Amino acid sequence: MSVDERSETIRFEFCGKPVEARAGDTVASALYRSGQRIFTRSFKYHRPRGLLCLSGKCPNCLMNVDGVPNVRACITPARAGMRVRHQNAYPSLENDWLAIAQRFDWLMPVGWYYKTMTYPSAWHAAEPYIRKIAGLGEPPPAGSEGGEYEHNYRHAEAAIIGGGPAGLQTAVELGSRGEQVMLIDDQPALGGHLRYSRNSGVAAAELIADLIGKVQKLSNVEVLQGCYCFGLYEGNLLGIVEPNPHPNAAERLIHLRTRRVVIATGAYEAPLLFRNNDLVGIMLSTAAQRLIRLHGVAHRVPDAGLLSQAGARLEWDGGKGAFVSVDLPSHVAAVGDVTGASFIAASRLPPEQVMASKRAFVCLCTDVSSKDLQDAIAEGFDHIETLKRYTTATMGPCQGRMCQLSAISVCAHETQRSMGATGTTTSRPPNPSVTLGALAGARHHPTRRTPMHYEHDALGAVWMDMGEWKRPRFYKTQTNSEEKACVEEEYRAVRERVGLIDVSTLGKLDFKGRDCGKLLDKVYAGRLSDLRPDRVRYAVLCDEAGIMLDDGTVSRLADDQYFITTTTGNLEFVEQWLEWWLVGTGWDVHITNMTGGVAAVNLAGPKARDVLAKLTSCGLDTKAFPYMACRRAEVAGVQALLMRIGFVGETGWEIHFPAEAGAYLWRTLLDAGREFDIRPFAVEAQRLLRLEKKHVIVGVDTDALTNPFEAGMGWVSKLDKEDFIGRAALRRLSGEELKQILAGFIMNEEALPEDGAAILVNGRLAGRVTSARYSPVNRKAVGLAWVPAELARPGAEIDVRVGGRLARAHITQQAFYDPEGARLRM
Amino acid sequence: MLRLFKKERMWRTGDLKPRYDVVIVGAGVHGLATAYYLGSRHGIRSVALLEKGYLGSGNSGRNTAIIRSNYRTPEGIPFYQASVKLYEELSRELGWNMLFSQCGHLTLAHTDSAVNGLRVRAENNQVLGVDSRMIFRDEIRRLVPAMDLSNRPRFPVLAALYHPPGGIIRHDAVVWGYARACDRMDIDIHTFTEVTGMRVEKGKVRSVLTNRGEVAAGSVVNATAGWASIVSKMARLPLQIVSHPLQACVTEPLKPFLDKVIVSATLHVYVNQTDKGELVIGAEIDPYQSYSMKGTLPTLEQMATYTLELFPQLHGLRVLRQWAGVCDMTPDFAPIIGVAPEVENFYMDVGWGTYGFKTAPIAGKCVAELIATGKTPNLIAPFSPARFTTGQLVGEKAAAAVST
Repeated sequence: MSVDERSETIRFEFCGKPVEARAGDTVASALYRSGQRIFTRSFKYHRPRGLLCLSGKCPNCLMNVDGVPNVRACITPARAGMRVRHQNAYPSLENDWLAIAQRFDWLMPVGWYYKTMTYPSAWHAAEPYIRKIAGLGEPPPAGSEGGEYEHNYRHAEAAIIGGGPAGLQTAVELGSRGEQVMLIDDQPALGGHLRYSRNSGVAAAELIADLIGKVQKLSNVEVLQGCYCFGLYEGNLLGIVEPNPHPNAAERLIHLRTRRVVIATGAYEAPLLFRNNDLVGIMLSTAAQRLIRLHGVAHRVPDAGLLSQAGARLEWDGGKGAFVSVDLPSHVAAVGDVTGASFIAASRLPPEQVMASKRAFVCLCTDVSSKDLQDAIAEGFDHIETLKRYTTATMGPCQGRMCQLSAISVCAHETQRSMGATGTTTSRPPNPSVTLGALAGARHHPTRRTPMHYEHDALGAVWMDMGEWKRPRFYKTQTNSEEKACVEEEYRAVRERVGLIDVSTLGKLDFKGRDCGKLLDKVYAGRLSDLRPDRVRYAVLCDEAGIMLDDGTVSRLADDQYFITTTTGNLEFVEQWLEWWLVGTGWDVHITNMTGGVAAVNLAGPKARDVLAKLTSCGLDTKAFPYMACRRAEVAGVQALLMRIGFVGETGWEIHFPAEAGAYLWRTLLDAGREFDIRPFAVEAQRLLRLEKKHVIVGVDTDALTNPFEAGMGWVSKLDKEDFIGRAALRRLSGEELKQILAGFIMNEEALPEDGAAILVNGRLAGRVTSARYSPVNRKAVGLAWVPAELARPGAEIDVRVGGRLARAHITQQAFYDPEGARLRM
Repeated sequence: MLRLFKKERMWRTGDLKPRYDVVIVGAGVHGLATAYYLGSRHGIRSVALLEKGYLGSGNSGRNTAIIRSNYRTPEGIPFYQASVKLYEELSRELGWNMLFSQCGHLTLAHTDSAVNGLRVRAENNQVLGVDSRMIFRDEIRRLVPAMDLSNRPRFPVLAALYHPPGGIIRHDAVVWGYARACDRMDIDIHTFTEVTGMRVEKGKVRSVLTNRGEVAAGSVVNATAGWASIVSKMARLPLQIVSHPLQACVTEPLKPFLDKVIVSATLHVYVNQTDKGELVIGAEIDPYQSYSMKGTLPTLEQMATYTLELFPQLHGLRVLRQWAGVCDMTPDFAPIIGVAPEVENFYMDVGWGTYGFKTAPIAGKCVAELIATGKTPNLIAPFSPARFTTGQLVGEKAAAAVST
């Protein structure tokens, strides 16, 4: 597309002034027509800079467009109403106060900041000012958003990067063979350099028209016009950005997997080294022509970033005067100017006196001159990679495209090595640069809600995150919205009457097959093959080092069927862990993750039996349904699995049932419980209830190094059964003296420690609190804590940090509530 | 001022000598620091550093240059604290400004359990004398006005562990500063010198084989980070180490808007803005073992996603490069420092995982002391290789899980 002279003009704003543009204009071309010559001020010296490459490759036209900083004006289409501002200049591009920095360049030889301000105080004083002067565009203000981005995923047999003559030719060849081809071209129209070359002539135009015509006829060749490829990753994954795919998206990132990649990215021109080579206007076409005629120098560089990313080696070709790619991997090919095919060597370096000038700029992004490079090399930074890091040449927004070849030339010349021996720096993706927005794509941060979610909402739930799940933390009531009081009310309901909690977030795995018992015995620390049908057992999972990974209940539903629960956060891990250890055994075990399809509640409290009895014909007295038993039965007409277990320390049933019935059964249970003054209770009350029972929560009270013995749960591992995961370690640990133990404590005074509080013994750090709550039964705060083994005896005194001061507590052996567990068995 | 205009070579290049008292494999910050303290504190100057690439080509030039000491365990905290103290004085000691900016470090918590985890660290830090405390939204907003502290994100920020002395440093400058100081003590730095094997006789390494010839060694130090297990195998010592890539990226420069280091374990990301204005963004380790130092697209996308969760206004900011380092991970996220009984003159300073850069000065100092005196300094005693046979692991996982 070129500018359409007849089209209507549009207007946009540049630094508050209106600017006219026509269809086909970029921001830069419109500004240029309006008389603008200075487009940016340079990074360090604030030298005026004008248009240089007009292809989005150099740093000379970075502007703020509609609040987005560092936008390349030369490739950004002009749109009506857009707001364009200059950056890194004050008060204006034409008159920038910081241009005074040029006068002090002699004070800033390469690496000056490493050699000065070596006293910390001097550096701390200077740093804020240096920060202020550095940087380019203004970041958009916090809270501003905008810009929708999307991702998609494509496949093709071959991808061709570059729609110039070589790329088009290849597309026609491969397309005619019937291959599915994607042609990716970053220009507004196909044709590559033949679109604008002065001497391409009529024949070239015809050639291009012919190739484009052929490509368009091939239905198996798809052209991605105006899209750029920024990376060639492992497994032939191409990262491609499509700007403005539709009016509602700023950019789309296309992930393209192909069998083969043909790179036809051509070449580009990089600036020459001479004194004041950065001056505004230096690349007007007449100037460029003169340079080429007078100096016989064209500074062309193959655009070989993708080839290098693909694993090709770059080798200096003296005849071509370019680094060419060799040793291409078999699935990648290069065609056209990117191979350096048409290149002719040209002299490259200017005379010594120019080289020694602080005004012959190698790196336009950060104002690094050939003199700076010479100095750095003299100081020992004579490898191209250390030279780059010391001078920062090639590390700016142009990503080395404008400066790499000059930097290598200077380095080779100064070290008297060949260009080939000097080598290039590593080309890393993304190249060209990519926005964070395009990389991130649309926001997809899933939230999981239980089937009873909206019931909780109606009941006044205050929410918390648990992994991807939302869980009620506590329920506000009509009379009370304060957490502590609400939690205590919920707590009392369970201890004195009956409470109902949604535990649907528990991981739920169904095990079917003859050999389930074998697998469970192998993976869990306890013995589960001898579990009788209709019984439940608590089980712990350890790794090879004997470290506790997860816990849960295992119910045997039939000889060949088990039902297992995991903690909310560990489901995915436990499922993978079990599948991992199943692989290769040949055992008959089928594991099904039922978590999403099964809802679960825990009905607990002295009146739980009375509530449940109203809704089921299943016998519920202790004889018919003892503690740690399970039954399948109907509850209010819903097929359910009932387990009599007691995490909160009261008579209770965990009821698992189809998720579709979630809200119905929740409501029905609450209705049935109304006469007993039932209350829904939530995570905080549950945490308090279980803490009074000293029931450990894996991952809260234990950490990534806890073994069952120190957690006071040595009984969970059955060391006498056949080999299982962690047995060797657990056996060793069982005979070892423990260093620390998870023990219960009661505060001697009124203080309530926070979870995580430090424990001191004789003034020295000795452990930490894992969970602490005010216990209504004990009328003091109680908790679990890691303490040195010698202190883990009843009555031993410890100091707990509460609000920065120390408070006394003593260790207890027993649970804080119903230590005999009588209430569970009632 | 005069120094500013003097052009002196930072370090010389030369031939390998036939023998050195100490041969250090790996001339990253750990190897260089060890050599520097051997020379400056113990007068041992017959030292060679062997580096397979250019100087600083390994993880020393690939990390995100974060320095902090707000760790979790009583073993870890004093060690990292000692390192911060050395870093604070290093620019002055070496006469080379490493641009250490103690701008402050925030570890964010987005969940209840993360808040508790941070509290354990705050408590332990305070008891052990590290400046570190829990702060909540109002104070976070004051410190980092650019960050999204609303309830809009999927996991809103609830609290942070604030560590004022934490900050960032110019990582390459640390390499160059140590190298220059070593060179001034006549310690030899041999770049592009790859160790290919070791001659081990009667429980001692006699010499080191390289692509430039054989060097006899009184002692050998393994300071090779991601390649530690390969180099140890040359001394016939298998290590409890697996290597994982760790990726990072850098954006175009912006004017300063963020002068704190921001870390989020829930979002698996850490972000800071350099003096030049670029954002440096790091990820957690890749989930697979590899020696690849190529960036991958999925990890880059993840870094971008999580950065925008914290700073949604930066959607138009462009990423300039991504890269990877190779991390030597141990089972307990703590290093392995010391000598294994099987090979008595082979010193290990490995297992540095994702936190090696910030400990280089103190690790180097302790290893130098161990080599010079034969006695294990208290600070590194918990990190002895023997812990994998006694089961006394260290447990820094909770504080190191997101890399910084």
